[in-house]
Amino acid sequence: MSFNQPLNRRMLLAATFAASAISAICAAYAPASAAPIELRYFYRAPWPSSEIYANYLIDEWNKKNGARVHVTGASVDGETYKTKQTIEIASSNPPDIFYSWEGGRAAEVIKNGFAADLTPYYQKYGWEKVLVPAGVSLATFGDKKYFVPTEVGASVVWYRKDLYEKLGLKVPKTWDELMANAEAGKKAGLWPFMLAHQKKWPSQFMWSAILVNKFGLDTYDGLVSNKIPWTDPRAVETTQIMADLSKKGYFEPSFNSIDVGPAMVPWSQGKALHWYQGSFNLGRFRGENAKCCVVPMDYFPMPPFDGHKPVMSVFAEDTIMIHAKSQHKDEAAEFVDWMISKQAMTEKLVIDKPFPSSTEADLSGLSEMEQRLGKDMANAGSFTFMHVDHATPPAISDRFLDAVQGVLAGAVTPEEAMKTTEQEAIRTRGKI
Amino acid sequence: MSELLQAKQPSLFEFARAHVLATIFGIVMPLAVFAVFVGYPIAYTVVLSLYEWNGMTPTKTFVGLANYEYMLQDRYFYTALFNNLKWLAVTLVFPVCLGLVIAYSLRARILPFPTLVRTVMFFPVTMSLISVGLMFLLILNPLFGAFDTLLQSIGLGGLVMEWFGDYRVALYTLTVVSGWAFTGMPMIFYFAGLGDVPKDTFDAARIEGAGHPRMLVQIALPQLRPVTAVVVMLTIFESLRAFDLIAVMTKGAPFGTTNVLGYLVYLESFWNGRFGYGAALSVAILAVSVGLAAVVTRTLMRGAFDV
Amino acid sequence: MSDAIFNFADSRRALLGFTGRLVGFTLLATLMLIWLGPVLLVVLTSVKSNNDFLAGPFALPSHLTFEPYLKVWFALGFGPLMANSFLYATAGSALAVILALVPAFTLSRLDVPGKKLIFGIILTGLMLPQQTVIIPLYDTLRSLNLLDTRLGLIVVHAAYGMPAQILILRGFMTTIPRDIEKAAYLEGASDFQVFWRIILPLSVPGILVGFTLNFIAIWKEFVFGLVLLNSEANFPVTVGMLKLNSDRYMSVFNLPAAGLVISQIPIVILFILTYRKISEGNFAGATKG
Repeated sequence: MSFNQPLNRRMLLAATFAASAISAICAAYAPASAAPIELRYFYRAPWPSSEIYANYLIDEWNKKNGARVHVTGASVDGETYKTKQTIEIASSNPPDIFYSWEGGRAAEVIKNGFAADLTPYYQKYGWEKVLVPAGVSLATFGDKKYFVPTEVGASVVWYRKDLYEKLGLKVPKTWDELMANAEAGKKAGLWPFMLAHQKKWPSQFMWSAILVNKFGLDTYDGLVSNKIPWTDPRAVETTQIMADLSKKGYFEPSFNSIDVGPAMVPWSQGKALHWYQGSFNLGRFRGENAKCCVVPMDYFPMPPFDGHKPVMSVFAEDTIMIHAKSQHKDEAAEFVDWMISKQAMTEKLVIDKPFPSSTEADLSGLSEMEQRLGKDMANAGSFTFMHVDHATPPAISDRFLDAVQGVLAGAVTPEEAMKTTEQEAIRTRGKI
Repeated sequence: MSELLQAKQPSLFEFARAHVLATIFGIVMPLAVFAVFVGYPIAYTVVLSLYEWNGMTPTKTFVGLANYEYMLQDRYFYTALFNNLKWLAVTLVFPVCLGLVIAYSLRARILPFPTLVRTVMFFPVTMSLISVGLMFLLILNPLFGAFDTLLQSIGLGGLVMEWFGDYRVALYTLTVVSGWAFTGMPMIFYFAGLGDVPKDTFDAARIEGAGHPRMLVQIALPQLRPVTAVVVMLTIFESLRAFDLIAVMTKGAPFGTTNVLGYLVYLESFWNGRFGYGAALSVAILAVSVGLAAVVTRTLMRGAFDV
Repeated sequence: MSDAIFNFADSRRALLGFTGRLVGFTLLATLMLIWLGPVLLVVLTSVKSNNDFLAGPFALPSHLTFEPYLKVWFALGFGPLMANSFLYATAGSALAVILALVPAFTLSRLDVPGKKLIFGIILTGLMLPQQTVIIPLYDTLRSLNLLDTRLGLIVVHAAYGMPAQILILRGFMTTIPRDIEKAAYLEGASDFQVFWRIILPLSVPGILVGFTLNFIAIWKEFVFGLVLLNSEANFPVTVGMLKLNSDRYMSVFNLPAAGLVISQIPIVILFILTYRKISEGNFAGATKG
């Protein structure tokens, strides 16, 4: 046996190992580029366009101010961000600027001392004057402001205009009229409502809209701000209404296995009459078209019950915080000011999707319907509400969403569902 | 021969003096890696399970056994535990038994094209479960899925279900998908194991007129006990690890019915910020796996490796 | 030479009648349908245009399009994802193999007292459910500033890959005949010389098998990547691919299908190159003794 051959092979192997080990170490210690002040912007990119838009913001900024303040961005997708936010902001080297949710999630971040008080910057830059009022009120916790909304959204009932015309239906003014329209749709062989509930968050939109419009905004605020328990009969009744809709077959078949994306196909094919969803879907409704929408559609707010005043849900979809431990809060605020500038907000409509949080943004590029919705949102004032998974900490909202999904599938009763939610809430916030 | 060796066996100390390098790099080093990456984390987890920690603050609050008390009355914990056991049961029946049957059929030359079969069936083992999960999400989708279309076209439309949306079937869908990806593994093990069974035993049985089922059960299986022990061990730990498929296919939905312990640990720790409770759940996983491993060692393993 | 279990089964025809062969081919067809069918369907879906997709899952595309591949490649940034996965798999496996070589040698060729016990302890690392160590790992890496670094993940992969490598390499080294080594020891060679000159060169096939299996295992790995990394720039393919499950990409399935195919290509290549080695005996054989 010749020793030569195995020896060569051995050397080759050793060289391969050495090379890979060295490459690993080099990659881990890639040199960082030196710059005057480094700001890190950590954000959530639920859509491909979110990342393109964030890159636009960063590139434009660095072109102008890069020599003084250099911004680098890092992103993760929408779902993953929920776990990564905690990890990132609690790390020893946290980002200076980061995306945060509104409501309960924001409260959690504030409570743990990671969010800088932005009230001075609101004064310095006069943000209050340009931002949508609902967005500012959402950013206010106690007497301080902790985030800046960069995108606001509303959830409304989208309906197919062509199908409404075909069936001779009118835009409903009350809940009963809406139900009558739904029944007419069902008789015509349509799905009265699209739900697309695979990821279990969509049903809460309808749930909270029904609750607010039936039992008033105070009831809802009481629930999410821990003053009313989830086992309250009003919450149970709202859940019962959802269960009845499901039992009557008002949602598409197999709704628990259909996601919002694929649901666009039957929606475009005209299989469903209504869809209660957020305005962040407008990008999807627009499709490849220059203007919304692929199919003839319009919206109306969830109609009220028994003569109540209708309340539209307006929420801050994207909100930005500055880290309390950031060494460069002033520079970070300067970057945030750029994010909500007229130029940036107008560009957002071109690259990303509606709606900008600044009232200064030029909406004229949008379709008539979108412009109308934008105005409705700006006029909603602070008289509005956000959905459960924004309003409550994730532990509670997750259990709530699970429970409602169980109710819609007929696995549990509304009472049981709300009891489960309340148990989880007690564990998180204590008994009321 | 082994007795002879044992008589001359030096003490560990003598061995270390005679083989300094081998002791350092061959025994101490791997044991140190074990201590750092297995021993320490387990101890850490056990200690953390007595605390409450939200993952954000630097301080951890000691709460004693409160996490365990909560666990014992947590409905989600029991659902997850039973789901793990169901997962294990399905995996033992479907991929393991099927893997054995296929391996036997290949060796017995019932199945033609052995290389093709082995290649095709082993391929899913190399796929990440994320890919497998995504693939079956596409195939089982109620709107555009191929599977429902296939069932309808062969007149079995009545069998169509909400494969991952119905709380009664979702977990079984997941286990079957996991089985699809796993079958190649036991098959390869059994295929190799059957190659080591002396051919004379099978020949003798054939001459006595035994059919294939009898040969499989009465001749192959007893001879394959060591392989079975390894495969069962592997299956236990695969099914306790079940995580990836749930993360990509259902995230515990619908209605929290597809949670398993591993996913619950992730959910409670990294989503809900209850690292202490997550640690307590981890300890439960550890206890279950040690328990199951003990059972396997006492029954299947006993004497299996005395050859 | 036949790999059948019977001495006289070399010819299939001798063994099986017509029914036997019918059963065999039916079984074969079923297995192929179940195990090959889904994979082929995904490949078929990935080359369809949106309109062709809506025509039904089994409909053949009116024309082949590679647009989904282009779209999904750039939308998910498959370039960096693949580069990361490749780095983790290569460096992690290489380190694991290097760490495992001497232990495998020691435990297979030397008379270590308490050998079984030591081996047993090391092997428990194999059976450890990842979830039981994920919280401590996360916290420890964080305090070492290794969270969300490529180096951190590589070290973790190497440490947890090592036990399997010891198992495989030890199994392989046990099969090397002792004669050469005895002669070397008689001539006064040290352990190191025997290991470096004799055992290591002869173990190259075992090393390649071990490396390949570990490479595949790291390529498939998901939990560590998900929990120990934060920025998308460091994500391996498995974690980056989760995005495909988001309804942003899943509205029409040709995009996710193309993503699936892309993610699997490196493994397919590796699989074709090494299939015979990894599937035959070698790693199943590691379970012996």
